[in-house]
Amino acid sequence: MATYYLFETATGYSLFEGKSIEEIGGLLASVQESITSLKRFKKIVKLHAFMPFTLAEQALENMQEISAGRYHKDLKNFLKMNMPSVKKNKYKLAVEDSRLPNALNEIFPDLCCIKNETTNEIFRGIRMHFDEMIEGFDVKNLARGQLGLAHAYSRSKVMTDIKRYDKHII
Amino acid sequence: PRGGPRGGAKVIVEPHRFPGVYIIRGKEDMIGTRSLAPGETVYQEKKVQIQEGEIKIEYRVWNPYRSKIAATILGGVEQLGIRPGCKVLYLGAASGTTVSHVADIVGLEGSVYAVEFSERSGRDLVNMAKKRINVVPIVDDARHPIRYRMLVPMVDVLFADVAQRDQARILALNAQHYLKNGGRFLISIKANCIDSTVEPSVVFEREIETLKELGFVPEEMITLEPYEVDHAAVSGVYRPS
Repeated sequence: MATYYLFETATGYSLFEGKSIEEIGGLLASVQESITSLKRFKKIVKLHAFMPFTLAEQALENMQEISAGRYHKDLKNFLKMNMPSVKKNKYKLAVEDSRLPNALNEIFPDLCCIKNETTNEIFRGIRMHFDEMIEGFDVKNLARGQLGLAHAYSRSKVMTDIKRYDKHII
Repeated sequence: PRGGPRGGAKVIVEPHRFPGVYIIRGKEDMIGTRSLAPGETVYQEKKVQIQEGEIKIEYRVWNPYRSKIAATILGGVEQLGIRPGCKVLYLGAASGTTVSHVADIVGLEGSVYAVEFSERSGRDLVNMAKKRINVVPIVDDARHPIRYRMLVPMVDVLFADVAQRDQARILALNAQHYLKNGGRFLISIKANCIDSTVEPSVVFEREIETLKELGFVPEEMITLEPYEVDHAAVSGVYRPS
C-alpha cells in the first residue's frame, strides 16, 4: 500500500510517492539516516506530481489557506488531478499539518490521511532534498519564491488595513 | 556614554575568530559586522568606514547591551554556528536589529528566516528586510512552525530568543521540522521568564536537562553578564551523527 506525501512550498504543490509506512515504519532509524543521503532517500520516495504557482497572488492566497489549516481550490484541483482513485487503490496521504485531514475529508470523504513520527522524518528528507528531487525546475526558484512570498505574506499580516496610508485626516 | 570612534579617530578593524564578525579597535574595543546595506542604519547603531584602496567598507557596531548574540560572542562562546553562507532560522526576531547583524554575517550566500509574531515589531522587520535581500521576514507564531512551512527550508542553525516559559519546546518543534541533522542551536534563556521562584542557575540547569530530553546535545552555557542580568545562552548540536 503506497503512501503519497503532500509537500507545499512557496513555488507550488508537490506530491511524492513512497513505500508504505508499514513497510518502512519499523525502520525509523534507517529513515533518519537515509535522509542525509539523496541517493538513499530517492529509494524511499520519488516525485509523483508538481504544480507550480503561476502568479505571486496565487502563491499568497494558497499560503494563507495552508497557514490556517484549510485548503485552497488549487490544492483541491491538484489532488483531484494527481491522486489515484481512492476506491480502486488503497493508499494513504501523508500530511505535515494535523489540521489538514479534517479539511480534506470534506472533499475526499474516503481519503485516509496519515501523520506520525515516520512521516515527519520523510518530510524532513523531502525538505532537505527538494531542489534535487524536483529536477527540471530552476533550483534558485525555491529560495527566490520563499523570499517573495514571505514579504507578501508578512505584509498582509502587518498591514491588515491596506488602505491605512490613504486615509486623510480631515 | 558616547565612547567609540569619533570623526577622525584612528580605528583599526580586525577579523574576529568567528568569520563575518569583526573587532573594531578604537578608544575602546567593540565588535561589529560588515554592512550589507552601506549608508543605512537599522537602530541608530554607530558606523565605521574603512578605506581599503578604492573602496570604502562600512562596519556596523554591534551593541552587546542590545543583542544577546553579541553578548554571547563577547561572553566567549566557543562555537557560534552562524557563519558566512549558512542558513539561519531565527525565532523571536523582534524589530530585526540583531537579525540585521546575523544577515551581515551570513552574507548574500546565506539567508536568515526571521520569525516574529508581534505585528508591530513585524512591520519594522519587514522594512529592514527590504534593504537586506538575504532576510526572509515571517510574521507568524513560532509556536506553530507548521504554519510557515511553505517559507522555510532545512537550515544549518536555529536560534531562539522568545522569552516564553515553554521555549525549549518551541525550539524543539522548529528543529523537528527545519534543523538539519548535526545542525547547531543557540537559545537565550531569561531565568525569570521560566521560573521566578528559584535561583537562575537552577532554571538554567533544568532548561539544559529539558533540551537534552528533546534531542539536543547542549555543549556550552554562557551567562550574559554584565550585558543582561540572569540571562544565559546555551549552544549545542541537534541530532549529531
